[in-house]
Amino acid sequence: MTLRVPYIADETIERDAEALLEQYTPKCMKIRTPIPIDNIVEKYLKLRVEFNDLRRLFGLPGHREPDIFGAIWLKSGEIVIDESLDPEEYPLREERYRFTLAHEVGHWRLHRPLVQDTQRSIVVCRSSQANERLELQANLYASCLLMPRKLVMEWRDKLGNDHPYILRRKSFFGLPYDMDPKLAGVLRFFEQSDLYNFARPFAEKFRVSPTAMRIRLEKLGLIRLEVPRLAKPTFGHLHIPLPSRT
Amino acid sequence: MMTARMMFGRLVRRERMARAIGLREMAKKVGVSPTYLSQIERGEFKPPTEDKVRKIAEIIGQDPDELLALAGRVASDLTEIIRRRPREMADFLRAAKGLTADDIARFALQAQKTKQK
Repeated sequence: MTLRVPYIADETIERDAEALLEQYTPKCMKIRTPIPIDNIVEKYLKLRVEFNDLRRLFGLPGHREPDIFGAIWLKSGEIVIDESLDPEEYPLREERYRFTLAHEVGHWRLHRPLVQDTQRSIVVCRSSQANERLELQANLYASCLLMPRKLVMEWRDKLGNDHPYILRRKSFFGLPYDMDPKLAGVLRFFEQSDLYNFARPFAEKFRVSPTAMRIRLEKLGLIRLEVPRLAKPTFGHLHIPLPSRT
Repeated sequence: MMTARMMFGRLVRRERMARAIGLREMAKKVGVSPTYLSQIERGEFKPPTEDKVRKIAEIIGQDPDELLALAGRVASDLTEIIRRRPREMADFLRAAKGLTADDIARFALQAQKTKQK
């Protein structure tokens, strides 16, 4: 049975994530990076977390790459994370694990009312359904929860970059960007690595993947794909220095 | 039917959550992975080794001997006691079987006094 998922404004999602952080943080204390997502889930929201082989649990055929990362039982408040994301067994998956947990919190906060009067109670989160509204909302929630606007802005100041990082160069060594497809391909490669280098120090502070960080930075207007039209860039050349990594 | 393994797992989970100890946090304290602790809590796996069960008992404030019994294990010091005096200890335990907890406690006290003499 498919759920009817209503539209929720991005601001509403962000406001709830901020409210949750505020409720969690003791008065006179300030929330710090990285956001203690385990404690928020288990100690504040009192949801039950466990690891299991989700593909086996749902009787799905095996793939080499896991497609299901998490599931939540919205009526009982149980979260199951796929074993492949166990951050103690696979330390490189820590970021992914944290994001999945925060994503399930998004379902818990946003989508519980949707299943109240239905038979359904489980939301299974598969990468193949990442573009469905239900999943997009939970992803935005996770993003706002793990990378709160205020803290990202603070780090932006600390990392010493007060201009938005402009990603797409209009030209390269005086050559127009779209001159030939091969050159464009090379430039795109540089763009990707520039972007990665820009997002990485933030990603490390917030303990999220550089990709999740890039999406958040874009959302907050700290990365722009192109120089906005009408806006006069305040810098003389095309490249803004990358933030130092201290 | 609920097996001893499942009862062990449920008790561990219930007491862990009642004390607001996180899964990862507990796994780290016990020295196992969160995946393995999840399996134990679901009763899918045999309870861990004696030293780990003892650690779990300490964290969730349970009597180690009772938790070991639920885990289907006998404390290694008890095995050693029986091994050293197999016939007498077996007779002793068989004779004590069926007594009430109070009676057993009284005998234990008596044994303690006898040793001190």
